[in-house]
Amino acid sequence: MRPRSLTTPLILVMLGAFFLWRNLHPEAPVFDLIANYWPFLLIAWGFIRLLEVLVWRASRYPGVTGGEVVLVVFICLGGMGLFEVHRHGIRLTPAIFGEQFEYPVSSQMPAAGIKRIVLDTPRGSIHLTGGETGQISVSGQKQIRAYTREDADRTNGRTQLEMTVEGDRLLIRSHQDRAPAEQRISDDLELTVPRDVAIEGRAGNTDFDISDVNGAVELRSGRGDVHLARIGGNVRLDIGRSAAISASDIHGNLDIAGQGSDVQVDNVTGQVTLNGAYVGSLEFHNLSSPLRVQGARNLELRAAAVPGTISTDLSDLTADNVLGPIHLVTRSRDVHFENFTDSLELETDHGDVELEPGRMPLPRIDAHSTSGEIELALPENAEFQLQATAERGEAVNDFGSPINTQVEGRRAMMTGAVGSGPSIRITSDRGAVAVRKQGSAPSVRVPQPPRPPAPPRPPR
Amino acid sequence: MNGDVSLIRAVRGPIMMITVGALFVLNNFTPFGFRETWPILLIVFGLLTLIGRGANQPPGGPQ
Repeated sequence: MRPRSLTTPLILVMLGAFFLWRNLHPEAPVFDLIANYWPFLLIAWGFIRLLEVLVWRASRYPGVTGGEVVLVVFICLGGMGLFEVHRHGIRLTPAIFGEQFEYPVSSQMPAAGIKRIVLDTPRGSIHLTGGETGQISVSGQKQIRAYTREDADRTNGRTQLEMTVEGDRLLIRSHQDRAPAEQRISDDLELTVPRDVAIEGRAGNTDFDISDVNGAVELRSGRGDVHLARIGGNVRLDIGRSAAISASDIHGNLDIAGQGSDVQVDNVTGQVTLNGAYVGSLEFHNLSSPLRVQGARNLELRAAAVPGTISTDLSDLTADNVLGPIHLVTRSRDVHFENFTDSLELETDHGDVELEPGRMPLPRIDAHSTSGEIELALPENAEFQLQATAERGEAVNDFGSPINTQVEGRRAMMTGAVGSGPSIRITSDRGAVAVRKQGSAPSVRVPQPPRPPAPPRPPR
Repeated sequence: MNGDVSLIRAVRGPIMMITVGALFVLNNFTPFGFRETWPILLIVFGLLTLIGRGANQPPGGPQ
């Protein structure tokens, strides 16, 4: 008779022992241990099989069966997954197990001599308001996720909020790093501070809501949303990943760096710089100094000031009342620019462009679209020198004889001067170009060039 | 002779299993990732097959 393998009963025993251990010591970081040590299971299994083969040598022991190979592959995939999850700092244990305990947080101190407040809260939320007060007061709640109330109490004792004065700086620390790895801790804090302080925040995963502060604000965090209102100083945000950032009534410069989704900026006196890829909607309104949007592959924008509005998402960009020089590079957005001055340089890959400078004297315009129609609407009394080219498309002219239209094959060109104005150059590689009088409907409808049918996809 | 061959075939699976385990231990505890060390699996498998073939052939050479 062929001897039966010992591995199945041994694996049963090990599974049983493992679950017993987990039940008796729920606080042990079992999953973290498994994530690191699972390969030893394969080694042990291999040794048992090797021993079996050598001991039962006489009785033609069969090799590893197909089922075992499949199981080994699954163990490897699962183990690798666990290890990667563990390595990237995601703790599975506390998120799934345990109970949430809450503790009140409250602290107060006189603010005399304090010029800068440094907040060190790795996880949670911070709501800070400046006011006419001589006190710095903190209140709020701490959440601890743990297995037992005793564990949570112990952690709460170790992570008391600490306020340390260093010269003119006040350091507010929540000491979340002192909590054991298998517990999760976060602080939701409300702070009231004197208006004239500067604020610095360092965080891992924290939402900030800061208002009515006259000093500078500097926030650095890995992830979180930020809402700022009525800030007197310069603002600098370095947020790894955000869903929403909003800033309104900022009297200094505003610098935003990172990645995220929505950004809304209103009423800023200083320069505004947005650096990074933001894929949601961007809105800029009433900016008195230069605006600069950069760092994203599909949008680059510079303007001297934005008394009106610029709003954009991944498919459209609309601007009204913008002071030039303006520089705009986009990949695939329909662009609609109204009421702009000085000069506009525009470059787009896919998308239609509508330009309506509105005011006299006209700005200098240089617009290029790889694929899309460009339409220019000018005031009736406008003076300009035009050079418009549609490499493969129609040219439409509403200004009559001063402008000369030529068609050569598939290429259409309009050149000419009306009075002595600035130079306007518009070029579309594939699509029509049109110059019409503002306020009137286009005399000739610009037909959309027929789009070629999409080539069939190659079979996968 | 045949006994040796079947023995070598039988130990091949367990030895491969131990090797895989050892490579993942290296992956988890040393800078040598599985991405770099996987060719060792080919080498070990090749060597085991080679030994199997060697044992299969009588000392006089192939017939």
